[in-house]
Amino acid sequence: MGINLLDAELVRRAQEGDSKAFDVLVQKYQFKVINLVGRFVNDHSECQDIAQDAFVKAYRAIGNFRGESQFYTWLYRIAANTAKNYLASRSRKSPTYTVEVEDAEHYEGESGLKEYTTPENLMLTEEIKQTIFKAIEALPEDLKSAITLREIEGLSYEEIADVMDCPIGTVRSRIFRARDSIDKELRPLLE
Amino acid sequence: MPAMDWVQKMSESMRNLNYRGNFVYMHEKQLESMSILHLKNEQGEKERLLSLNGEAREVIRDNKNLTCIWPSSRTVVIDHTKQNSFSPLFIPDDIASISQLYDVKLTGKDRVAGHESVMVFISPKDQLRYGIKLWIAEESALLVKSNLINELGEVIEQVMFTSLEVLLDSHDLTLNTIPELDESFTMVRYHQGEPSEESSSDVAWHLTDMPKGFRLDSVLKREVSATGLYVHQMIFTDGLASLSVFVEKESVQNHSGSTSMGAVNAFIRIVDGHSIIAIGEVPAATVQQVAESVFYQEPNL
Amino acid sequence: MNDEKQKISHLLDEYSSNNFEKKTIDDLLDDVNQQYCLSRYQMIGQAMRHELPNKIDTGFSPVVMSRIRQTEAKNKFNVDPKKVVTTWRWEFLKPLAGMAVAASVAIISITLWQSVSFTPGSTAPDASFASVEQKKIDLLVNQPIQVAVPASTTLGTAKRNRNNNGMHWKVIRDAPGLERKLNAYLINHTEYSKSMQGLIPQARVAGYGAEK
Repeated sequence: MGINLLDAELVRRAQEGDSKAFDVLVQKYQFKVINLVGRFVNDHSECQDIAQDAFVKAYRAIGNFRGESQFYTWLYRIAANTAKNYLASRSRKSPTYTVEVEDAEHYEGESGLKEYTTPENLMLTEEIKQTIFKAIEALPEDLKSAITLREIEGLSYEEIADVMDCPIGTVRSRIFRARDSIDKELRPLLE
Repeated sequence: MPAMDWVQKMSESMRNLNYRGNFVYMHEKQLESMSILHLKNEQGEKERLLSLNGEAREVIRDNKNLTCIWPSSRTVVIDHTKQNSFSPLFIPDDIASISQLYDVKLTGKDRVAGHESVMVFISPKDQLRYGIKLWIAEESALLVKSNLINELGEVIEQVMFTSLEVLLDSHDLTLNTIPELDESFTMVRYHQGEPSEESSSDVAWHLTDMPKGFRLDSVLKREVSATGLYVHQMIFTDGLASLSVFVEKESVQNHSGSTSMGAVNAFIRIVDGHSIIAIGEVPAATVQQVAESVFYQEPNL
Repeated sequence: MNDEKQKISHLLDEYSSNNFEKKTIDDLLDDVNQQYCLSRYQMIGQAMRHELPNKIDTGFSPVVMSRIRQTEAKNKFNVDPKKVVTTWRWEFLKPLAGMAVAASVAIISITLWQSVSFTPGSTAPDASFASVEQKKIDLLVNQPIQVAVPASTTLGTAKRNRNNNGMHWKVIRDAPGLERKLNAYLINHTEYSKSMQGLIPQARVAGYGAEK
């Protein structure tokens, strides 16, 4: 599969200083990054902090991203290394070269940011997943198959058209209708 | 290489190689997305299947047990594994007899999940069994796609890999991480102990009208742990297709008639206070013919 | 809005330059509702792939953007070399050191990534850099099932999932005892009979409805 054009365009705009474009990238990849960091760190709030650090570092380094790989691959490297450095710095008793401590100093004076992370903002994934799965189950078979082939199997529209023996336009429409139907159930949970 | 050699090579590769992949399983307009990890080392084979859409449903198979886990309903089902039950299940041992019932031929080449593949079509010569099309990767000889075709020529079930990777290492540790199942799980064992093989002369149940080409392959007796009653299982095969006849004392809630799930058909009949259940991946007419021809005869008469 | 949502849905999957409209991205960046829509569509796919974290913080992205804005403000002030040279005071040196370290982190990161190897079966993070499929498999193998969910939640879940996907016997949905028995016999049949159907028998077993 080629480079995702949405990502490429958002990265280009972020490189030109458009922070709104980077915000969309954060929204797009936040859960993947949190999941990745969660492999290193169990604590929820630590995990959130490290994931935030990773995005901040990515933003600072985005000028260096040359588009030779997928954006999320590049982002994951940063996130994994941020988490590794965090663990390394935590395990050092007398650090001589404390990357993360130094880096943390860089963010001095940011207390109060945590106000965004209130219990009301925390949702159990289980509830979201159940809502989504239930909505998927209620879909007609053609929509369910189309969204499954796209989201789980990662097939392109062309490949789905081949598997489902229908025009690409129909695939596009089925995937949208599936997402829209699921979204109708999901949106009230998140608003 | 002749078509049947490809089939044999595929069977060996599926048993002997380490591989993992994602595939879709389509049946009756439904689509299940699954992943498989198959490992082979000196200890034997291990295999893990996981349903990727909806709640995760998991099947773990090793040399001893077949373990099915349904996390959402907190249910674990454990059954014994037959040594030769890994995928694919069977290397035909009597090609001559198969050729009387099926045509086996190479039908072309195709590309599936990035693998150049040869296509083998095993088509039945009558309507008592299904046909199957196999796509076999040329390089690894792994199965990358298969279509099960009914007596009307329709594809009734399909498996197609969307990604498939041959692994160099057996990754043995990864399959040992069977999840800890807490007390909220219900464990179900369908029978206690290994089923015992019976000789056909001990069997009191017989068939008057065996479908053409099918023969009795084995007879098993197993105890149902919940009731303490015994169930007899007779397995019939034509060399490729197979069906089982289960006979149990307890009647199945007085149900009789036919039912199906995907390509699997079942026919239930009550005879002398026993339930006769014929079940298999064969057309409905075949299981019905088998179930209706079962009769009881005292042994040693 | 429906037309815009359809464009967002397509945008999310777009890998070829055909029909790619930059104006759609302009509209997306100007409309927070479209951004939320994109985020939810993305969430649907991640839920389907079991990629969502255990807890979702809906305030995550505002925190990140706020930190970025603060960092940018600091950097504008700190990176002026003239000020560092002319004043040479500890409070200016510290942030400069921070910048230097930050730059070295980027270099170290790349070096680490290239040199660290992935040990099969471990929970090494590098597994996640591989293909989506490999990551999915690794997740499945290393984090098999969600046994940590409280029983009460799960019971509720099981009830809600009564009509979850999976295979079912035709006609006899009103006879659960019979259906259970047929499933048991089918598993027995699959295990002890011969078949040439490749993975289909296995897929069938794994595809049973969740309530069995």
